[in-house]
Amino acid sequence: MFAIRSSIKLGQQMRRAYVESTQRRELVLPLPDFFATPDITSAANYFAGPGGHRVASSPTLGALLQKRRSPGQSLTEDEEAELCELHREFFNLDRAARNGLGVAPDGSTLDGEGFNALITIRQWRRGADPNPPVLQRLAGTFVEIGVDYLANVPGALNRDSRHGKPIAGFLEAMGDIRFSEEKLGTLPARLFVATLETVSEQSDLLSGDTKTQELVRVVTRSLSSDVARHIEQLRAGGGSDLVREARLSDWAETVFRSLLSSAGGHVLAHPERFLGVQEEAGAELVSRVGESVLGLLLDESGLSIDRLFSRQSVTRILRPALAVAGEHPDLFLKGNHAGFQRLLGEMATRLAGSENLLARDTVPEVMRLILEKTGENLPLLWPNPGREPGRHLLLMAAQTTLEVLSRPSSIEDVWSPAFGRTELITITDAVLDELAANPAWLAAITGKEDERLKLVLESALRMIRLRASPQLSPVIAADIVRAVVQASARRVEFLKPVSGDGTGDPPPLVAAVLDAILQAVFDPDLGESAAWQVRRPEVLLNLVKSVLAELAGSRPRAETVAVLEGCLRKQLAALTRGEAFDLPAFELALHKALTKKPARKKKETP
Amino acid sequence: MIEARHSIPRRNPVGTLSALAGILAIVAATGCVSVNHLRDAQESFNQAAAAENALRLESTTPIDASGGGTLAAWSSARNGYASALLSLEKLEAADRQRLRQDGLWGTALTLKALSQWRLGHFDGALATAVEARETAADQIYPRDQALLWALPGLIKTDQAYHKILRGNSLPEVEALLIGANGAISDIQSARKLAETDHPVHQYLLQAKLAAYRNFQVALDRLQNHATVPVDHSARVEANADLKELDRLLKARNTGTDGGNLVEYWATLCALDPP
Repeated sequence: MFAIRSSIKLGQQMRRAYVESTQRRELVLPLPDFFATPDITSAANYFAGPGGHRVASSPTLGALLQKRRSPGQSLTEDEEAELCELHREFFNLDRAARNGLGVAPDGSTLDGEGFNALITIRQWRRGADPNPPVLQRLAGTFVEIGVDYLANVPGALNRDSRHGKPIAGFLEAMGDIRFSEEKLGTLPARLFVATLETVSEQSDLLSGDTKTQELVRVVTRSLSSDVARHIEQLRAGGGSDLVREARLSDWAETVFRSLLSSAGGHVLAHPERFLGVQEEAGAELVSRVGESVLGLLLDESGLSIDRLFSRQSVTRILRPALAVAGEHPDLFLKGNHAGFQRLLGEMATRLAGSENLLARDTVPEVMRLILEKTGENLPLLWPNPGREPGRHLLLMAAQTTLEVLSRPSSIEDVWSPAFGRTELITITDAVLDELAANPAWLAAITGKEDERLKLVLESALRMIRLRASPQLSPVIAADIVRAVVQASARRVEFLKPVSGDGTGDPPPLVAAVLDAILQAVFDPDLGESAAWQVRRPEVLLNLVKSVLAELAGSRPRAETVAVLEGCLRKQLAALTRGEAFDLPAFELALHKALTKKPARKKKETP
Repeated sequence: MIEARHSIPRRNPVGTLSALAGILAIVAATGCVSVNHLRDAQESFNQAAAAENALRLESTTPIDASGGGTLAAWSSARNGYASALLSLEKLEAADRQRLRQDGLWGTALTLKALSQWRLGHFDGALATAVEARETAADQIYPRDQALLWALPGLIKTDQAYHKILRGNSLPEVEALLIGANGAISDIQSARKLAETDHPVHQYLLQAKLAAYRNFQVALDRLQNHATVPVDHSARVEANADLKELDRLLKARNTGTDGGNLVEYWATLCALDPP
């Protein structure tokens, strides 16, 4: 009922404001037809009037005027031009002598635009308009609704009260908006209700601090202006319709709520960074971030934003985006936020391009991961901020990861399940974590070395698909891939290629190690007693982790694989005989085997 | 009602706002069509007037003379007026009724009359002005009222201009411009209806100066290059008008553009600078 009552009240008042703005609308008034260009008639009348004193002092001028007036005579074109020139010259001299006219010290003259500005006329003179200003009319209604909504909160509508400050901030922002021109439709009403609801639900926004008022004001003003600009562009391009404009308002409201609620706490904790306290209005970082995210959501370049993003996911992006802005304000100020918006757009485009990435919210979640880690190491992660969004290293890595992991299995694969959203994010998170924590790897990501990450992921996944049992869950498979990535980040030796099976590129050592483990564990001839134990998901995962950790602690090289295979054979043979699997004992055995010095050849006796 | 307020349930925001948006859309949609037609007409008219004014100021030839670029630009302005007129003429009876209820009928008729005037439909313009005064007297607001009263004077200025171009007799033109029922007199009467500092005076004063300028050209072209005597009542009045225009512009702090505008009229009409 609240919504219905509010809607009717606001709708009526907004319509009335619309009507009144039509009554008071300025008109550019056309002058009647007249001879608008100063000419010889102007000149002759000047010298017959204000410039008459010049005639006596200029024989040429006198002669020209006399000739013009004489019956049967007329001035030649040159003589007319000369008379007009004398008019200009003497007019300027007289003007200078009077020091009256000529308020244009820059020598400018009246142009069409300036002329029209002076002939654009209001309906009522200033202060005489009988209708209340738009703000006053709507503010009255907003307050009525506020009374309805916050009736159980004493003092809610006192602008100095805790509840009143956010409302005051909203109304101040509305005061800057020209409703009649900007055609915001229902957006102001929706933002007002959003303000009330958010403030009611978020106790930290009710601190009574003026920062809350400022936050509401800044966010309301910037988003409203942004939406108005988008609507104007849509309409100017002839591509506007009710559905598009409604979609625009929907996303604007979503961003508005997110900025006030989830992100609001972060902003209020650092007002000096986000609310332009230190610098001019251009430093309102919170609005720049909001505009960037809204810009992404309104992208119409063919990206299915509505499929990729949910309302909740907007909040998940906004938080780290604000963190990035707080750490690196230069990315957003001085008109630079377009670069950040391009990065967001590039992320969405590239990440959504991965095959089979149908799970909603996967893309925003990966974007969140990238943004969170971006704030930590910006110069290294994004060497050329603002200009080359595609060269953001984490974006490149995330794209590679998702591309590899979301590829469908082939017909010869034994293990064919697809990774779900959780697994994709788990692995991507691990990849990004390792990259961000290992500058050396980051540096290697650029250029040709970018292929290394892809090779590790592809080969690990290939081993799982070829060797693992169909019963292996995608969750464990994802954990195994994550362990492989983490091991690779720890020792570069894992990335070195070893001789493969002759098909395709030789796999890196880490994949060969994984292959050895999986081949042994999922050997079809493995005895039941052994298989029963080592094919348990947690046992398999721990086995992979411990082998990789043990190898990382030694000197990983191609020969290591053979040593590992030997240890695994012994271990599995023991299990087949009925022994219990003892991971520490296996680790010890592997350690000894890896560190065992090769037997010296006996000296040959002569 | 008070009891109800205490039990406002926490609603699903999406549902609440969907309902809100839907209701607002319905409320907004009902009855805004007629206003939108009027606003479209205002928009077209403004664009046309701006184009015509700029064209007139920046062109060195009469705007209705034959000539490539000038003629094309003038046609474009005319299309704007025609578009405004079309928006207003296609109003259905229900739309007209709605505009009346909204207090916009006088605004619509004023715009229609102005559009007709600029398109040269002088009879229609005058008839519309009469209709406005008779049927929407309570809905004609200050600027529009002054314009409707000035309309005959504006039309007479146009007619005099074309007579000058055609080389008609000076008395005919004089009567249209400075006669007792001439353009300057009509426009001055309209000025009396507007409050002293209403911005519409800026327009009306310039309309009077335009009429005076036509009189000046008429003397020159139709009476052997005669000039307007310094003590001619029309010239005295034009000097006073320019002074008043200067005062209004200064009061509005129009700065450089205002000064340039006064200088333009002083140069064009060979008047005493204020």
